[in-house]
Amino acid sequence: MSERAPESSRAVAFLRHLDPATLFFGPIFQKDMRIAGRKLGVYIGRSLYALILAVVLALTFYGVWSEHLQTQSNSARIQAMQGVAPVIVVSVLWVQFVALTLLAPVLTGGAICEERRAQTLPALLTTPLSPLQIVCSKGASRLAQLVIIALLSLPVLLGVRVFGGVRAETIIAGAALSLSTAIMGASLGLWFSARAARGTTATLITFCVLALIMAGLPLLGLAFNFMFQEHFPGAYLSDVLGDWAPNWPLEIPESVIEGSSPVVALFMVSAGLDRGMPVTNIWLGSTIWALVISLLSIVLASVSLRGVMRRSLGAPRLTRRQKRKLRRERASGTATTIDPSQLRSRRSRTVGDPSVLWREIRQSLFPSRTMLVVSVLAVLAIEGVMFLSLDTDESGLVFIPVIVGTILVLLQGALLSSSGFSAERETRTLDVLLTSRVSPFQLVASKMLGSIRRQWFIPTVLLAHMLVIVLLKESHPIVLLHLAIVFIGPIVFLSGTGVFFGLRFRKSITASALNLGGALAIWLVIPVAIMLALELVLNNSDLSDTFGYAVFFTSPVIQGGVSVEGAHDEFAEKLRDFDYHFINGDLRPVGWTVFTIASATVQSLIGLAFAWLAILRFEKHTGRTP
Amino acid sequence: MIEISRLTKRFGDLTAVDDLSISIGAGEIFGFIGPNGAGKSTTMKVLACLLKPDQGAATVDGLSVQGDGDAIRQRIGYMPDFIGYYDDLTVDEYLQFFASAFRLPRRKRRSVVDGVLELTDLTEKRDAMVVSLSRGMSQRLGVARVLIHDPKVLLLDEPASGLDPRARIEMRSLLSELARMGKTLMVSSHILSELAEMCSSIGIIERGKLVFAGSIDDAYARVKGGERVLIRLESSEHLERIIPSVISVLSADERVASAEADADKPGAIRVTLESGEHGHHFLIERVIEGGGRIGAFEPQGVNLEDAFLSLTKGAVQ
Repeated sequence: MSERAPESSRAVAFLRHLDPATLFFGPIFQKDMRIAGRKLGVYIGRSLYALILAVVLALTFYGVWSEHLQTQSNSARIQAMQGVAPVIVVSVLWVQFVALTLLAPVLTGGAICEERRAQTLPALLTTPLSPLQIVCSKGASRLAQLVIIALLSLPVLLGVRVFGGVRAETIIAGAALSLSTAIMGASLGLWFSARAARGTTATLITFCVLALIMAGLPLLGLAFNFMFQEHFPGAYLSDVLGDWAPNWPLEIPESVIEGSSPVVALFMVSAGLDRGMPVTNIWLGSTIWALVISLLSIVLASVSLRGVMRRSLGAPRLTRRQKRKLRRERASGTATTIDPSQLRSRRSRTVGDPSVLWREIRQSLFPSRTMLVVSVLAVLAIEGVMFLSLDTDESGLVFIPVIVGTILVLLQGALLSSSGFSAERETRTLDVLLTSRVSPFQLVASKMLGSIRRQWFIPTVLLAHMLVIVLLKESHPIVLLHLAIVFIGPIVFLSGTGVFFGLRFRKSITASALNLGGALAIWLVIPVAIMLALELVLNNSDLSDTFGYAVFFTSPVIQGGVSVEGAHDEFAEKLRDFDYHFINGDLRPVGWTVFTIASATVQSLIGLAFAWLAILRFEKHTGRTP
Repeated sequence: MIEISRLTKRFGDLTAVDDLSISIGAGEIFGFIGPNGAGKSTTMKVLACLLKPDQGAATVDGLSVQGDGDAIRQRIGYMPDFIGYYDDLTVDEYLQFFASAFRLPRRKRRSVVDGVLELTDLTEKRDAMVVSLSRGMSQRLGVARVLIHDPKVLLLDEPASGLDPRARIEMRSLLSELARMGKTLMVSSHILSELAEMCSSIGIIERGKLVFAGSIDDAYARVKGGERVLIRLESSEHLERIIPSVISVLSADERVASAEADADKPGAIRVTLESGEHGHHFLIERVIEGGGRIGAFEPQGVNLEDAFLSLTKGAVQ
């Protein structure tokens, strides 16, 4: 007869599970830290971040300094130097925020599903470690990396205070927002990692959810206020209920809307610093909010991991129909044992030629049809909120979706395209494939085309959104053509580089991180650095403006923004006469079309060159004999 | 069919295969034996054109692995020790996929896929998702996959690994059937008794070096010492006194290499004859001379495990 442990000892056992030493810093944490410590890439990444920080810092400092050099008076110059500190702090805070927000999902996206792919998860799940301990330890080891990166900018943030003009609480607010957003990204990444089959999928979903939190929540708040303030309470409810109408505070305070998005909260901190205003408590609310989401994500991740544990112990995942069938058979007494191969079957299709391409173009972005439906419903809900809360002629209705969407297109391209070859390595199917007669060209081209095909969802949603705007006669139809061209360039570019990195590196998460880093460098870091450098070297001349903007216009995000602005701005008046803002003046629609085509062609050619390089280096990177 | 000459493959400081030479004739079943990390899989990967050799040469059907990769891929079927599967395909689609990858004409594919499914007894699982197959079925699917382009040579790395006894027997009969069909098989396995029943020749590799290559009979002949016999004495109250006496008489005979009491079997003496001695009738006389009465007389055969243990030092890299 088994004896139940007394309540007190069970409570002690539960509390022991929550001991921070075992919860966060247990054997998994130590193992992950040891592995990270052996990786050269980790040190290269940190050095790169420090270099970016140093470049931004030097350029910002020199920019402000050279501007004040022109002031003849020494006292005026010293006084003006007080303005240096806020500019440096704002620059560093934003660099830190962007770096940590991007790194967190990349680091945690593969944390659990990589263990599953390496078939080490069942062994881990048979140890006395609880799912919560596994999730927390994995999160802690990744957060340690992020904290080290955050600490790199701390000396700058604190040291710059000698110039004056920056309050300590501004730095604390900025650092807290960066770290809490990183924790939120890392926790969401862990949750999706416990659910997704691939690390890159988990990372991509995390980025989408982060984008929703940062841009979607403030929009939702605005929409709520718009609907309940202007339509329902005053007019409708009072008419119907008279004195019985409740006097509810149906308006979400502005501070709550601002605090719901860390990016808006950081913007408020930066704006306050720029204007010399005291820091409001919005950052504190936003930090707490991010930590609450993190806590929830961690709990959900451990629940998901528990499910993984059950499935790894042999319980097959059944569809509803299979469950019903099984229940009927059990009721009638005809059910015997469950044969997973009978439960998981479907009518075989005829495989087309070439087979690798046939399979690649059938790889879905969504792991299941349910996920596709949920995503479509979520998009429809967001669209509904936007169209209800904003007037159709407001430029925000086109700018926010296109800017956020284009960033997501880039993130998606960087992450999805690099998993082709490395995923084959991780599932150990590459060796078998390489012993067949599939040529390097066939393999690389199929992987690249498959990757392009998988990136259909976000561009389609954006084009559908813009189609509605066009049908509402708020934008010229040419915007659809321009956006399509703007998306093609980076998609082909990132697919090419992704295939190359995927072939070069064993782990898909490494390949994805490099592809993402490359995209960031090309479209964000290098343009900004070149602009600042030109500004300094050419000392604010027209030439520096020209070159600077020329570099800036290579970014698909800028191109997307200019495309929608040009076609949308006062559409009614400029139906036959509208222009696009360009480097030194405006461009006519034909000129802008030519520019976007040229830009997309160059980007596509670079992508194809990387794919070609992958074909040329195929034998070297796979080891296969020609 | 397979010629490996002075093959060397290094990974950094580690020499995985060191000056290895093997010759395997057409239609042979060659058992490739060695401890974990001995270099078996590396050798097979070189033959499968998945790794380039650092030194030496290897040919399959007269074609060099260093320059005739595509032609060799048409002639070989390689099954790695761990077979990864595409989790989004059914068994039938998986085989069609590789039929296309091996450039089989479209009109032939249906019949070829049906044929290999039947041969590997997977016809009923045609529409099952590959991930849902049991370990035994997965291994059979692996064999079906390597047969899809009708290769002359099969390189099978641990095909029976992780299989239950029934699945192992099925796998063994499947491989024997393939040998009867005229295929040349190079099979690595840890289950030596199965290789002994199946293989016409074996190669034993240790720390990247080939320590033995030849027929199974040759391997048995290399086992230290000659025939072995287990003698069980009739139980008696004086057994404790009789056993040392019998062992003493047996040891004194120059035809006996060693005689010792079997620790696991009370009243039993394990005798090993000198190499080359085949008759063991004289042992009966020696036992009686020592005062013992024979209960049972069991000549012990040499098996592949004995040969393996005798020829290797048990070292791994």
